[in-house]
Amino acid sequence: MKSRKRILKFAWALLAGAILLAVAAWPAGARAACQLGNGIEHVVYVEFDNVHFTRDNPNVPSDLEQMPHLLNFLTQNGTLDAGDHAVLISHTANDILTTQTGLYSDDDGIAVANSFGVFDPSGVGFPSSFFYWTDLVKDITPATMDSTFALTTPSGENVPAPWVPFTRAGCDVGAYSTANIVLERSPFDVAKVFGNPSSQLSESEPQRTNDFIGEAIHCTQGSALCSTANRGVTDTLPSEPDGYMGYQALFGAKYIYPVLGNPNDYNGNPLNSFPGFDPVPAQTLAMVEAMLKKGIPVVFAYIADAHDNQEGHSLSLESTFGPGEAPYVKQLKDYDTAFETFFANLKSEGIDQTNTLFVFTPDEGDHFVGATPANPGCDGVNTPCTYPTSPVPGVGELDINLNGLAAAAGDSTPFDIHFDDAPTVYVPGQPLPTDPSVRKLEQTMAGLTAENLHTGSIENLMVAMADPVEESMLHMVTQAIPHARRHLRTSAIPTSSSSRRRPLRAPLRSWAPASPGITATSSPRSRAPLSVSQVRESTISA
Amino acid sequence: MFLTGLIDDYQHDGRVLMELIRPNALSGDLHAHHETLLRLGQAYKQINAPFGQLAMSTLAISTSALQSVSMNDSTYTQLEAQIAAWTAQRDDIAAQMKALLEGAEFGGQAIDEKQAKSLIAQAQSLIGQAASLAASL
Repeated sequence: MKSRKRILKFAWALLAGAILLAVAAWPAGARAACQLGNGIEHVVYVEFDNVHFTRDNPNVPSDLEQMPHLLNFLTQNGTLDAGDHAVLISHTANDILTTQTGLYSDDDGIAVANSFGVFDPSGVGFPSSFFYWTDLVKDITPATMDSTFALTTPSGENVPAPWVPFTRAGCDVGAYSTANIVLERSPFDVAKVFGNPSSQLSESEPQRTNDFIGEAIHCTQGSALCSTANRGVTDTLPSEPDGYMGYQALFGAKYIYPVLGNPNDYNGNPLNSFPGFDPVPAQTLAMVEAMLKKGIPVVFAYIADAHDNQEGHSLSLESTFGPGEAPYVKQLKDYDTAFETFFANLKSEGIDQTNTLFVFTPDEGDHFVGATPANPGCDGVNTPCTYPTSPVPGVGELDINLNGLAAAAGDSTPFDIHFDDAPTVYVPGQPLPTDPSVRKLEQTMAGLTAENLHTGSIENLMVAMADPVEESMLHMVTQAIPHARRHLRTSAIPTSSSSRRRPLRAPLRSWAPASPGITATSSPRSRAPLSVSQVRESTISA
Repeated sequence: MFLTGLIDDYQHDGRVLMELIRPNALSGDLHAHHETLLRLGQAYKQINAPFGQLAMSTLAISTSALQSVSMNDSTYTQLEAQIAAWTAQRDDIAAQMKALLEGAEFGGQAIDEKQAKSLIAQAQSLIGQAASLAASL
């Protein structure tokens, strides 16, 4: 599962704006024609997964506090907004979509992520929420036979693309690893833009993914960057308001790397192949820098969260970390070093807060829900924190067999769920929400309890519940996808922004254990998203 | 988007964060009506955002409705009907608010102070009704 991972306690939006005029030495190209307001010459928009501004442990500096080059850049040059919330359900794909478009999920079609349930002839399918902008539901999961745009407006049109205002204004737009505006999936996204048959589609895996997934340049009309000679292809948006003709795009490292002058990441490794959707700042920021230096004035990019192990076994054998763990602190230090390099390199090219709108924003909004450190006085920086390994790992998610618990409570109604700490429940056959079987299931779930394996206490599993009536209030009902009816949204979370720990999660549908109970894993999912949250309210960040 | 001076070809669900922009950096009408725009935007958020005051109250009501056991499921039916009615009212008020906000922020339209204040009052009333019911459950 692609893991542009989930998030934090308080989502935060960081906006470092620049409204001053400045002149920089730039290569000729699209920049000369790019017309932005308020003296802005460049826009750098970075989606930073699961980064924490507030502390999960009061003794341990937060993520941002451990990245002073980023934090200081923001606080000294712009505005730090710690009151931001994501959409419901708070997850990477739909949060990124919301920040890119300024639309609630009921207006973009993706209310449940990182996959969404769709009733298909065989039951309930769960297409990924990561796909290319123009994909149909059946492109992602053919079994659905659903020709609706996966990113759909309420009237069934494809959601307007976020790069369009910029390209129409004469600006090329770069994208790196961020959701839905790059090719996400092979082979069908490759087939969509390059055609079937095509030489690109005929490549074998993993080369095809390395070559074409994860990065894109959407060009303004006439931009040389996306010329046919550079392997540019038509940037097709089939239902963009007022049409979208005469635009081209480049997709994938195979074509973008040479156009950018064969850049390396900040560790000296060539960026000639997409590294996957969990890039670290040394990769993402190097690519953003390369695009800016090439004269691409607007760049959207993504950085993977720092609380999971993004650096591999050279950093730690653990896959995920608790606050203050030594590898976590080390990784944040590496992240900060990349930011230091990034801002310094840009400044040396005349790109800084005086002429550039920098936006750094998180998705999701999780917080740490694991165990108390084994050495409670630790601060991470001077004294690394350690976490218990028994009776269950103190770091890592706790999963629960929701189907098994319901059955044990005497309710045999079959149902499927979207795996999450606020699982979405689908009842096969699509009975109405008022159907007695659905009502009984809701009542059963409302009474479920389970032991918190970190504390030993018995907790109610459900803190908040919503069916499609309340989901409409929460902007979660997608009118244009008839097969997407959900029956119940359960929430094992508090309905406030309190920091109450929420370690219980539902199992992954049919892969759930056969008997009720909680299982602990060491998978990199120890942070549960705030599912009751709100949309980014700012159109300035969309 | 507001800062770049560009305009999307659709209406946003979001709003410009006037709280983060110095009033003297705003142009004519936006500057003149800054206070009302700020209050309108904040009220819009409280009735329209999934984590706003209205939705938090109705989520509590929804939870009570779904877990309820009553004769003919009457408790569930009544509470769900109330949420649906409020959602319809919310949608109507929010649509008007959104049109005012987007018109002022991106369309160069002067805001109708009287209409804005009326919408704010309607939003506050709706929030109050939902909060009262949620507190009574």
